[in-house]
Amino acid sequence: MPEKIGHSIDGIEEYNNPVPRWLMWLLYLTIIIAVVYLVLYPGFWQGATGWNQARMYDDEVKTSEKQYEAARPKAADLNSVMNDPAAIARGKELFAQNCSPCHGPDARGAIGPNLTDKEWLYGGKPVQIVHTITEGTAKGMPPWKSQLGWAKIGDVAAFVHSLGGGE
Amino acid sequence: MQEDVVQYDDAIVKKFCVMAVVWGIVGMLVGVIAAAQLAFPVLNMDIPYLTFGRIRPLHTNAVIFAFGGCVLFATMYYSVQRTMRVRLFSDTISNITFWGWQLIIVLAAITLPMGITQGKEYAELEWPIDILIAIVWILLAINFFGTIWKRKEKHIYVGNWFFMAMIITIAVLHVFNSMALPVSLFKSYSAYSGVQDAMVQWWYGHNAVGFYLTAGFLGIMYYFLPKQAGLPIYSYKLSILHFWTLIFLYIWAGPHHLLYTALPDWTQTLGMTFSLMLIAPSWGGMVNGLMTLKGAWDKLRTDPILKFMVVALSFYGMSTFEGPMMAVRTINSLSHYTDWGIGHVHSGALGWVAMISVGALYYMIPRVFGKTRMYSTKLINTHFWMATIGVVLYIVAMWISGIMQGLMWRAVNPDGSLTYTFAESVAAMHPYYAMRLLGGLVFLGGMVVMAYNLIRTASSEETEEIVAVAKGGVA
Repeated sequence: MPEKIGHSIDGIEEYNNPVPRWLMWLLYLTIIIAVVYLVLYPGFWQGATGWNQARMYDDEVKTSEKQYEAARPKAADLNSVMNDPAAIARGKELFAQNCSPCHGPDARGAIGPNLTDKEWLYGGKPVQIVHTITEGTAKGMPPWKSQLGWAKIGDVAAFVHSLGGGE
Repeated sequence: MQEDVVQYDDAIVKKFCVMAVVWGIVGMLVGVIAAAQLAFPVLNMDIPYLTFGRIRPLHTNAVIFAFGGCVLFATMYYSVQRTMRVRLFSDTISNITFWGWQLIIVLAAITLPMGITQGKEYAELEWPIDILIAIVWILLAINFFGTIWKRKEKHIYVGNWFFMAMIITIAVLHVFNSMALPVSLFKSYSAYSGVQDAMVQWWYGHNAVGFYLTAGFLGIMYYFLPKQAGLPIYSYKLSILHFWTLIFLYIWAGPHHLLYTALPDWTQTLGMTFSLMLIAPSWGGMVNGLMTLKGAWDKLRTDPILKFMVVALSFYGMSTFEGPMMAVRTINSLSHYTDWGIGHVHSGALGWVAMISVGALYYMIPRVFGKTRMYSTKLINTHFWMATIGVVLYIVAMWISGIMQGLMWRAVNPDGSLTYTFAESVAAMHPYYAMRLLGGLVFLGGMVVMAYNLIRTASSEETEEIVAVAKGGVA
C-alpha cells in the first residue's frame, strides 16, 4: 500500500501518492502551447504572424466583396429577368418575407414608400431598382446584398418592377 | 483518554438542506418554463412578468444562488464543524446567514419578474440587494474562518481550502462587479463603462463559475466522496498542486467570454491561453476523486449516492475539457452566441454541480434528521437515472442545435450572400428546443422524487441517536 500522510480528519485519511505523470505532462504541454500561441499572436507583443482581429475582418470583407462583384449580373440579363414570370413569382414570395414589414403586404407603403405608383425616388430602371435593394438608401432602407444575394435581389426587383410603375 | 465532547450545530444544516431541495425544484421549474417558452413562444402569454427575458435571469439566480447557495451553506456548515472538531463559530451568525440568504432569494424572486435589473449576467440584482448579499457573505466568512480559528484539529483539511478560496474570491468579485451609482432605490448605473464594464462583468462571471460553482463544489467533493466511500483520498500532493494551480489560473480566464469583441486582442489572447492551461488543474480534482475509488468500483453497484458523485466527477472532467476548447479563438468563432454555450453551462451545472450537490444532500439528510438512512435507496437510484438521462438529453440537444446554428449563421453563397436568414436558423432549432425541454423535465422530475424521499425520511419512525459529537483525544 502507498504511504499515508499521518492524519485522520473526521475519519478521512489521505495517501501521499505522486501526481500521475500523464497529468503533469498535460500541464506542461498546455503551458508550452500557451507560450507558443503568445509568441505567434497578439499578447505580449503584436505577434509573429501579424494576425489581429481588425485585419482579419478587413481581409474577410475584401474577399467577400470580390466574390460579390464577380457574381454581379449584366444589365442585359437583368432585363430578361424582369420579364420572367417565374422570377416575378419568386420575387413576390421573397417580398412577403423580407420587404412587406416596411413597404406593406400589398407594397402600397407603410414605413417605406408606396411601390405601386409611378413615382421612383431612386430610379425605376432594372439596374437602378437592383442598386436600391442591394445598397439600401440614406433614408433608412437597409442594404440587402449580404442577406439576399444577386439571384434573390433580381427576383425581388422583377416583382417590384412588375407592380406597374417600372420603366 | 480524555473525552471532550462537542455538540455540532446540525439544526442549521438541516434548514439549509431542506431549502436546497425546495429552491432546487423552484429554480429548475423556472428553467423548464423558460425552455418551454423557447420551444413554444406562445407560452410567454404576453404577460411582461412572465416573458422569457425576465424568467431567464430568475432561473439562473434561483439555481445558482438559491439552490447552489443553500447547498454550499449546508455542506460548509456540516463539514467544517467535523473537520475542525468544533461547533460553528456563532449560532447567531449561522441563523442570520440562513434568514438573510432566504430574504435575498425572495427579493430576487420579486424584483426580477418586475424587470428590476442591473443587466449584468448572474449579477442582475439591484444595488440594495447587492449590499445585502455582501453583508450576508461577510457574515459567512466570519462564521467559517472563526470556526477554523477556534479549531481543535491542527491540520486544515483540503475541502476547507476550497471553501476558503471561494468565500474570499466571491467577496472580492461581488463587491467590484457590483460597483454602481444608484439613482433611485430600484435603479443604478454601473461604475464602469463600455468595454471595461464588459471585462469586469466577465471577470466576475467566469469566476462565479470558477470559484463558486467549481472550487466550492470541489470542497464538497473532497469531504463527501471519501466519507461516503469510506476510503482515503488518493493523493495529498495532487490536492495541493491542483488547488494552487486552479485558483491561480482561473482568475485570468474571463476574457474568453469576449473573443472577437471590442476587447483588445492581447487581453483576449491572455484569456484564451489561461483557459487552455486550466485543463490539467481542473482534471486534478476529477483524477483525485476517481482514483480515490480505485479498487472499490464494486461499491457503485449498490450505492447510488456514490454513483451521483462519480457521474458528477465525469461531467466535471468533460466540461472542463470542453470549456478550454471553446475558449480557442477558431472554435469560439463557431460556438459563441450559439446553444453550444448553453449546453456547456448545463453539463457543468446539471452534470457536475447538481449531481455532486444531490450526492452530498443524500449523505447529510438522514444524519441531520437523526435517522439511520434515507427512506428509500431505490428512489435514490431512480433519481440517479432520471438525472443522468435528463442531462444527456439536454446536452446532446444543445450540441446539435448549437453547432447547427453556428454553421447556418456562417454559411455563405458563392456570390457572398448569406445562405440562411436568421429566422431559418431559429426554425431549425425547434426540435432540439423540444428535446431540451424534455431533458429538463426529466431532471426536474428527479428532484421531485428527491423531495418525496426527503419528506418520507424526515417523517419516518426509524430514528437513531445520531452521534453528532466530536471525540477529542483520539490517537
